[in-house]
Amino acid sequence: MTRLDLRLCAVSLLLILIFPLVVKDDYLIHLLILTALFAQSAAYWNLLDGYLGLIHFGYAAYIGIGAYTSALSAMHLGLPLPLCMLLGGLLSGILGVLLIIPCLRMVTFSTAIVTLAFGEIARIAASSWTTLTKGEMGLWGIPPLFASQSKLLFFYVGFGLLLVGSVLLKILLRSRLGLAVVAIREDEIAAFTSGIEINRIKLLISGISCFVAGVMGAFYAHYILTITPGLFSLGYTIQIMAMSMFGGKGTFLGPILGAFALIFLGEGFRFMEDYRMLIYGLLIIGVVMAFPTGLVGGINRLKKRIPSKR
Amino acid sequence: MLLQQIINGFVIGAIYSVVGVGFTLIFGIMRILNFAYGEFYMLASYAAFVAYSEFHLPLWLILLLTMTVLFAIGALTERGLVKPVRERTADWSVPVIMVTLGLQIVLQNVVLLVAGGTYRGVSAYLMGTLDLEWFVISYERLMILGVSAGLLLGTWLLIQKTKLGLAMLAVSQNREGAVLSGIPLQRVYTLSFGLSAALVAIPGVLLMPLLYVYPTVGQVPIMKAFAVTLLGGMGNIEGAILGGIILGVSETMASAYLSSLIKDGVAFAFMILILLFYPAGIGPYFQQIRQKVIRP
Repeated sequence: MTRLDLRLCAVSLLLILIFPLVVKDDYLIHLLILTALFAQSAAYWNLLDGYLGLIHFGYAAYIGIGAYTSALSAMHLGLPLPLCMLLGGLLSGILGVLLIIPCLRMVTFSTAIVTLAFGEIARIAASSWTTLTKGEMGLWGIPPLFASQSKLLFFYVGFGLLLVGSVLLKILLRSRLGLAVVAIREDEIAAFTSGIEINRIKLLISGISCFVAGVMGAFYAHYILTITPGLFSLGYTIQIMAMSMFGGKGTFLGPILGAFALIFLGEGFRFMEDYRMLIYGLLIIGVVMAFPTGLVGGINRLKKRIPSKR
Repeated sequence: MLLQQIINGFVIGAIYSVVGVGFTLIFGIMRILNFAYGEFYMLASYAAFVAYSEFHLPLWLILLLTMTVLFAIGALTERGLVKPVRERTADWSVPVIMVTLGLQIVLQNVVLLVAGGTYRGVSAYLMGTLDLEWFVISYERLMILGVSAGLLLGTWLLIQKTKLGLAMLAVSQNREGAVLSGIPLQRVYTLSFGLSAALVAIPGVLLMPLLYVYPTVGQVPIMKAFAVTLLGGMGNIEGAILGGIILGVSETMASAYLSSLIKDGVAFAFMILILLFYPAGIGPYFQQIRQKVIRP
């Protein structure tokens, strides 16, 4: 990131933070909250897949686990909500680490099926363990994070989480650990011979990534207030994957840009009514054909072109 | 009872094998995942529905027609969408996933606009059952088993015995080497993409009475395709055939002896168990064993 990029980020962040104070449109604010959620999930999925090279097809399951854990512990144990959210995150993180243990000795693509299978198993468990999760009916009556009707507090907490998460992610990527993560992606054997403890790092990173997914899921549960097993579904994982690939896999800003782009592209065509999703799909095809390496790659290429013309 | 379930599992498994082989073929040759694969299935299902209930065509003609049409659609997709992306990036796996995801959304919504979201279907292509001493099998299932087995055999022969098949094998093993030996890479890519779409057309036609057809029906087969492909080892055709059978049998067993609600869960858990012992998928191990048996 250059200084110009940093300034642009700061300006756009400020604009977003001021946005709900100026535009008092509940629906837009709701969309932005969801965007923050998706951006954070996409960014940490990208940490696993884009930086570590560990394909994860069951990511949405951790969002679901975090949401259910937090909601259930708030409803049945009556713990304070921040503690519940932390619990949701912790359980997700622990399960994330446990799932990767058997994957350590597999080839990359087998990891894909194990995570895919775990996601499906978790979804089926959530929909058939009716005594605890109320099954397909979904959980309702989850205590809200803030009692007030206004979405403003949720908005700031959502973007606060996104900001803290992004800063921590940047710090992580710049540290020795981050370098080791990229080294593993590039060449596992070379990384191993350089003295990097591959297995420990893989477990640690999946723990961190799933912990974040769990916390975001918990936030979602205490914001939307009803959750269904659909939250675990492969569809959400694919949406998260699409966001980070659309923005640029393996880049820091890519997933966040991708989340904004895809959600607002999807919403922007609402006036087309029945043709909305059709246009959305065509647009994805168009953008990918124009920028095959994702939005960030496309922007970088454009930037290179401009000074050369001067 | 047990034999009956195993046979039912084989029927389902054979069709999963066909779905998986088409998917794994593309991965093996082009190193891409085609997320619009399920939508090819959906198109074939709709074609079969229209041909069978509107035009009353015989089944063999429907199979032939949908295969031809889907072959053309697949080849066109490769030429129109995948090729431009492929030519512009060195590592094309991610952009191709995105393009096919976009195609998936487009196809689903085009069909939704044209045909509406209602479930459509026909009762069955064939009536009656074959009653043997130890088990019962409906003619419909027997036909599914026969067609799938024939198709798998045909694909295997195509790949092992014809020039095109050998070119596909060569590309999947070593792309640069294949190009250096004068194999037209682009033609192999287009033909194999078409072949993959033609393969998934058959399950689309045959399963239509069982699964019905609606715009998002493609989610079911692509899930199976994923599972079968990964279980068999990415790009491994024999592994995919074996993987399909294993998935079909374990699913049928789970729904017969446990509960049909959790059958997918049990099948997936079983798959994780297999991968624990055969981390690269079962295909490579199967091939090792076969080589030992054939050349002792």
